[in-house]
Amino acid sequence: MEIVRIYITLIFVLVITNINQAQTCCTAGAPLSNNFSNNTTEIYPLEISVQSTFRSINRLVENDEVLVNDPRSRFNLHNNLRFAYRLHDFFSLGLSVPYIFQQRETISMREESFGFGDPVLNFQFSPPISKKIDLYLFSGIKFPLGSYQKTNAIGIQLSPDMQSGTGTWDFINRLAIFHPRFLINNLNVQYALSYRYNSTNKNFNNSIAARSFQFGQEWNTSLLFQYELFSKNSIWVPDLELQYRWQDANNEQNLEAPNSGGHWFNIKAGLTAILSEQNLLRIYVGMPVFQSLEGLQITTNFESGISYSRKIKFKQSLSDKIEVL
Amino acid sequence: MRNIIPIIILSSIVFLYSCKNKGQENIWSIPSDEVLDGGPGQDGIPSVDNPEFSSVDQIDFMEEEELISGVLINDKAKGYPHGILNWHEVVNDDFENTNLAMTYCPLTGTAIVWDRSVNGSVTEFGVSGLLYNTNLIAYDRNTESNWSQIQGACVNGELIDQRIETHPVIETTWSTWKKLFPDAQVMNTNTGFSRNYDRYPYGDYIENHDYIIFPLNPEDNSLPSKERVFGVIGEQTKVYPLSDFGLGKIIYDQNRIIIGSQEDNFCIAFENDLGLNNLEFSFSNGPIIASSNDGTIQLDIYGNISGGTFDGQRLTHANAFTGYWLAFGSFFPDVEIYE
Repeated sequence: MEIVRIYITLIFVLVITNINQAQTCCTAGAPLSNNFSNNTTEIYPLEISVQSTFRSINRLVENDEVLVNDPRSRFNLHNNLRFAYRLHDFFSLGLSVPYIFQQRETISMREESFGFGDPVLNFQFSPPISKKIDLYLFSGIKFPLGSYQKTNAIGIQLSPDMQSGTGTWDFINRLAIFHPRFLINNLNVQYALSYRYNSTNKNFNNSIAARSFQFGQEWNTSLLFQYELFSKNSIWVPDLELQYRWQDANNEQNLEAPNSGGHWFNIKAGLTAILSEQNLLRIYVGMPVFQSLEGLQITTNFESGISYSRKIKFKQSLSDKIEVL
Repeated sequence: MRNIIPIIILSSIVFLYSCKNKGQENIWSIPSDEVLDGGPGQDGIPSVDNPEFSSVDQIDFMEEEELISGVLINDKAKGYPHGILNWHEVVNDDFENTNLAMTYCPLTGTAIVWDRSVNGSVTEFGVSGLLYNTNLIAYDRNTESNWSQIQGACVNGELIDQRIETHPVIETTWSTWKKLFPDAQVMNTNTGFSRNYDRYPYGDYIENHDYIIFPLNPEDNSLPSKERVFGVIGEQTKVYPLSDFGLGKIIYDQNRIIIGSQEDNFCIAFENDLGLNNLEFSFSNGPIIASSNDGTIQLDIYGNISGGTFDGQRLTHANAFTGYWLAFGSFFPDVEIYE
């Protein structure tokens, strides 16, 4: 029973960190570099998950002061189809395909854009370092396949942050340390640190007057606590995550763009239902606790997400093998 | 079957009509691939539609060297501080029975006053969130047409190619403004929006000549990009760097009189229809901006002449405004620089 519990917990942790969240308004549909992980096991080498993250971007902040009378509001809905495949005990591959819907609304106009974002192919290495602690090293590459040339109703290309793709090759690296049964039996803790390198789109608008644009480099660190509650037929796991994210200013024409970049401290609360070995469902809500931004920016005031994950086995399961033995 | 045919015909008409309208929306008189979405969206930068004003001596939020732009109508002036305009870009206002919009683009440093009477009706202007050659495109709220600030023309929408009427504008520092227009009303910070008007929202944009946020076509590097110049618009647009005016200077050029001062940080231009170039004027510091050497003839900032042969006559303001060189270099490729 203990082995099963640890096993399920591990599955849960990997799933919980597997939601590719849409960025705030300032980085288009590019996924956050936090919250990536391949989640496969020996028994279930393939995992397919669908995730949806809603982000309300409706807070006008100047440095750390929230301003009133903002005529703008925005939201984005970041949907993600994700595949992960186990290559080896310590290695796995993952592929995320996002589909993004964004809306920007002011007192006089509503503009929308939607489409496939940039897919991310990743490689994960989880070396066995300790019986008590698990380590995950993740490296991913984002392909510039999403559209960055979506236009508004009068034929003008929308700004970079309203596009589904960035038109750039970007790189994501992540380290996560998971400590199950931290201090007490039902408590697990995970620390994660990630970095995303964004390259430059040198001809964003495909025009003679070429517009060069680069989203700011991003660091993200988080501390996640989860507590397991066992019921008769399922496991419920509430969690609390503290996230600190900081991002450099964007670059326009190879120089730092004003009113971009800053520091965000967010808190998120979630609940996972482990329905079976193969099926997991998770929901979460989050909101900023503190933001210190460069200049004036409209930024996230609320986010929520839901994800469903199903694992698939290709061959004999571990239990089948035991029976054979 | 008979019932279907009219439905198909009707649907086709509706479809074709919708395509026609769609086409009109997408027509631009400027290269649409050089019109850029700045990010905030239409009205994301809110215009001020109910501005409030105070007298000069009640204004306490401006530093002496801060810039202010003013409209000149009927021998009166009204001021709009750049510290406010940086955040709103358009102020819809009424002054001397004129419906006007003070438009200001922080990226080109250009303040131009538009008449809000367009096509026989009064409209309001708002900030479209779009830029052409890094310059403001405003839109009118009656027709949703888009207007290029520096071109002074509608570039997209129902009123495409229509030109806008402008009013004389002056830009100077707060210290000079107080000398020139001690009785003028000045817009105060009661805009209805909470913004930090003490802060310039574009970092070191003004000082950094290499920093151009949105691309220009063409980009002319004849002068440093942010050098403030006074541009007189015409068949041959010509710019006069403010730095050339020193303590005060009067230039007779192209049948115009350009009067300015680097020290006082302003410049103004008049059409010289009266042939004043035969007179010996010198710069004067104050509401009277030029006077004859013997002091008998004077010219004020509104163009009024007192004394001499032309006593009681008036010079009309030329179509001119101050801005960063980058704007004139890109909008007027054949622009001349006065030397």
